[in-house]
Order: sequence, then C-alpha cells, then structure tokens
Amino acid sequence: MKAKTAISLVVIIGSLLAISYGIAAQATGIIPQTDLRSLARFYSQNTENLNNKYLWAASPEAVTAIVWDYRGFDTLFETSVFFLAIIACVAAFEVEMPTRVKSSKIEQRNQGLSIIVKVVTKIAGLIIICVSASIALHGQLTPGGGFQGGAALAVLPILFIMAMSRFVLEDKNVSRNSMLVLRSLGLLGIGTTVILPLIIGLVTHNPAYIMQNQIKPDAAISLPSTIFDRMMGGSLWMLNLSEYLAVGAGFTLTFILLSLPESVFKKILEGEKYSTH
Amino acid sequence: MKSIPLTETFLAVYIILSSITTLAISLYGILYKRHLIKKIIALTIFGDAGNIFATIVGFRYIFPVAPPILTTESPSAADINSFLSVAVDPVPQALVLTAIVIGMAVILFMVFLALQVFRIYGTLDTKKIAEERKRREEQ
Repeated sequence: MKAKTAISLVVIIGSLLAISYGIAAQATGIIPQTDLRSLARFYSQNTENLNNKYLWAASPEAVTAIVWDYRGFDTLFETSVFFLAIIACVAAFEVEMPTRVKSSKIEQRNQGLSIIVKVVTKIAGLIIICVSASIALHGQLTPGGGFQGGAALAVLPILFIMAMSRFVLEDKNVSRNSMLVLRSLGLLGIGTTVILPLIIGLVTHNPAYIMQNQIKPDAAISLPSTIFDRMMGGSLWMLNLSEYLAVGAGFTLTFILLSLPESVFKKILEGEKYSTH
Repeated sequence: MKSIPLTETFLAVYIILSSITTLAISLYGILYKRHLIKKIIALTIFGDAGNIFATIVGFRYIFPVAPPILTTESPSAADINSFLSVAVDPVPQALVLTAIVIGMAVILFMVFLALQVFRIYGTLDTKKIAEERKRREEQ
C-alpha cells in the first residue's frame, strides 16, 4: 500500500513539475504570445493565397485547411482510430439481435415522457439536424467541419432516447445495422476522396499524389475549388461531408447499443424474441 | 517576440495554472479512485484540461484579435497581411478539434468495457472485483 501511494505521488508531482518546467523554459514560446509562430504564419498566409497556388488549400478557414489538407494524413489516421474504437464497441457487444416485435402505435404513444416533452424533442431534433449539417457543410468557409458537425448530430439520439425510448428509434429504422451501413458509407466516401486525384491522374495520364487537394509543382491535378461560384475548397467539402456521416452514425450506433436495458440484454442472450415490455 | 509584464498577463497565467492544477487533480482521480466509472470521469477531465491548455497556447495577447478565418473572397496581399496581424494560431485548434471527438470515441469504448466487467462481476469497484476473482478461484 505504501509503495503504491509513493509511486502515484511521484507520478503526480513529476508530471506537474514537467509541465511547469515546459512553460517556464518557454518550450511553447511566451504564453500568451503577441506574434504568430512561424508554422502558424505559413498556414495562415497560404491557405487562401491566390498568388501562390502551389501552396494554397482553397479554403479561407485555416483550421479546416490544416485538418484536411496540410495535415491530412494525421486526420486520416485519427479517423482510423475513431473507426477502430467504434468497431471495438460493436465487437464487445457482439450478440445476435433477434427480430424485434414492432410496437404498435398505441404502445409507442405510451412510451417515454409526456406529450409536451416529445413534441418539443421532435422540433429540437429537426433544428439539431439542420444546424449540424450547416456546421459540417460550411466547414471550408466558417468555423466547423465534419468532426464538429458529427458531434453535434450525436446529441440527437441521446435526446430521443431520453424523451421517448430507444425502441422508438429502432422502430424508425435507426438500428445497429442501418447505422453501420451509414458509417461505412462515410468511411467509403473518405477513402474515395483520398484516392480520387490518383484516379483522375490515371485517366488523364498525369502524375498525382494520394490525398492531393490543389495543384502542386509536379502534379497538375486539382479538385474544383469553386462550384457555381461557391467556394468548395476542393476535397475539403467532400471529406467534411463523409466525416460528418461517419462520426454522426458512429456515435449514434454506440448510444443505441449502450442504452439497451439490462433485462432485454439478458433476454437476447437467452435467444428470446423481445418487445418493449 | 517581445515579453509582456506579468501583471498584464494575469488572466492567462491564471488559466494556465488552473489547467495544470486540474491535470494534477484528475491524475489523482485516475490513480486513487477505486471505482472504474470514477476513473473514466477523471480521464475525461484530464483530456479536457489538456485541450484547454493546448488552446491557450494558441492565444495571442493583442487587442483586435480574430479567429483564423479570412473574411474576404479572393484576398489580395494586403488583405492577407492585415489578417496575419490579428488572427490567432490555427494549429492548436486543428489538433484539439480532432482530439475531442477521438477522445470521446475512446471513452465510449472504455464505458463498454466497464459495462462488460459489471455484467461479469456485478460490481465496478476494483478491490471488490479482485475479491470476487479470488472467491471464484477458490470454488
């Protein structure tokens, strides 16, 4: 017991001192700084620089440009970490889902909280979908993007599970399988967008890079930066849309699995057909 | 990069110190709390304190300060220069926004594991789990 206490005290105090030393030795520069760091200056200067199209990302939003263009591979691997975490959740919950007895209209009406809460939840749900889609699809123009939009969308299933019941969601086809399909579609979209320049290069006999967004000195392929005079940021818009689907569906999937009542889970393990009561 | 007197940066120093203290407290929670869910909560606090710290690293101590977004379509060199003089550092923001979502997915996975532990042992207290294991082995 004493050794354990000593070890944890050493770890806590050591990490405290390490972070404090890092700040005191100004490893991150003077905090708060008054000037931009050179790396930040490079990204901010080139993200929408029309005079140097070999370095630009065709997006006025520097954060999205870093996330999906300058540091695109970082984000690609972070997406794979996300994919593995969700898949691990599903695998930990690997039970054969029997076909559920659908609840009737009257049963649906009697489930969950009062009618006022349910109606308000439905209105709020519509607003959440609109806002999260707007966050995700304007990611190349305003603060936002696929990750933030997907996280905003993930509020919706929690709200519905609280106000109504998870079985109402399942009756509306928001089930494990449909969410898996939607999430795989999102990941497929990311994969397609990543190799899209390569495919275009093969067809047009041009050199191209994986995950290339705009023209480079030795690869003359660039995805459209504007469509109908609207700034699309090349691959940024497609990647944001796919990530929105993947994150939103992935979180919905885990919330649906997590909210399965313990009694129903036991019934499923015993292989019975289950209904809501 | 010129240095600013400490009296002017009081608030920033305050936020940095409090985020470091939060890191220490959450480390205490991760190491000392016996309940698995409490450990997971401490871990989320640890991640959030780290994210706040990363965001404050990118802050700029100037008066007209703006988010790192160009507001003009097809900007000229002068536009970009005036943007550079007010915009904050975009790099920490880009790191944090992915870290939040990935962190949440990993936390969800840990919650799933804790749920499975609860289904097997009927408790989430690490000490009680050890006792239960010993009891089952003796049988």
